[in-house]
Amino acid sequence: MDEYKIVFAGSMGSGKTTAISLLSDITVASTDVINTDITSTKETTTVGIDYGYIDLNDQLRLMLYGTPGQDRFSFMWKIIANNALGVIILINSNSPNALTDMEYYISFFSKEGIQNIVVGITHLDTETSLSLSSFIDAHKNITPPVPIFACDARNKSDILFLLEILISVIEASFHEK
Amino acid sequence: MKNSQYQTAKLMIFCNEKLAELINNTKGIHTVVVASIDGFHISSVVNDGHMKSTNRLSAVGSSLLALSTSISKELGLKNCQSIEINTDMGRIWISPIQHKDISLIFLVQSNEKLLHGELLFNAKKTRYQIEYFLSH
Repeated sequence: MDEYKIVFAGSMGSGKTTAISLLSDITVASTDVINTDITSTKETTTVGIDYGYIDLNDQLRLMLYGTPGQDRFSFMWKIIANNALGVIILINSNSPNALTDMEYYISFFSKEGIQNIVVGITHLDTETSLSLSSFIDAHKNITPPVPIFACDARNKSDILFLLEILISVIEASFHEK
Repeated sequence: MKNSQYQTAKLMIFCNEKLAELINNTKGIHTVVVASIDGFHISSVVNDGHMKSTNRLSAVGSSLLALSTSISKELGLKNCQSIEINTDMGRIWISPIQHKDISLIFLVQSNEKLLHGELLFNAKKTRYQIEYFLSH
């Protein structure tokens, strides 16, 4: 069986653990602990990795790795990104730094050598959140260009859609080579 | 910058005092750090003259303890009580400090000359003192 590594990265509270839990064929191995950050209302937060996998068929398994969102855990991002085929970056649109967060994560993983990136914007249903077009506009003329979509991390079909887009991006990159 | 709800003046002052005692009373211990379970630095003492990022140590220690707890649970061994890393130049001992809903991590680094038992005895004594403080 061929196994490929896909990383879920992005800002704190954007839904990375939820997304992996929805997709995974196994119970996710997680490293969630109590969140003590007074700037966030989350009860728990990932500080190590999340791990699960999804078998697309008898021959192909996608291993799903989730990173912690906070910048202080960026050493884990590098470890997890090693040999990854692609990254799904989830951004919480309700975060005060959502636009700069998006560029920061795209830039980080690009520099780690991962060119196959898809962005999902989450929490678009709250009153204080930015609109999807704000993110698309902010990313115009910035390299590398990446597809950006609205996404509800609690909705399996939304996450599967992002995964399908990422697989398309990966296939396109293979054809280019 | 104080971001964690555990970064209270009382706890930070108490930990500073106890960590300084540990490092002053145990020749061979070079670094001690107390952090929140999610990787925020609370208190630390470093005595070997080398600059270390105790903020970074707090985050790495938190990840290591969470990963160790995860593997312990995968193997049906419940929670991780401590991690010990043995290197050519010394040891690193990491342990959770738990009281009710407060969860901290405690990281101690020693050189290779310090006896293993002395490291564990003195580090655990300090850990218990912090746990006792949290319970009152």
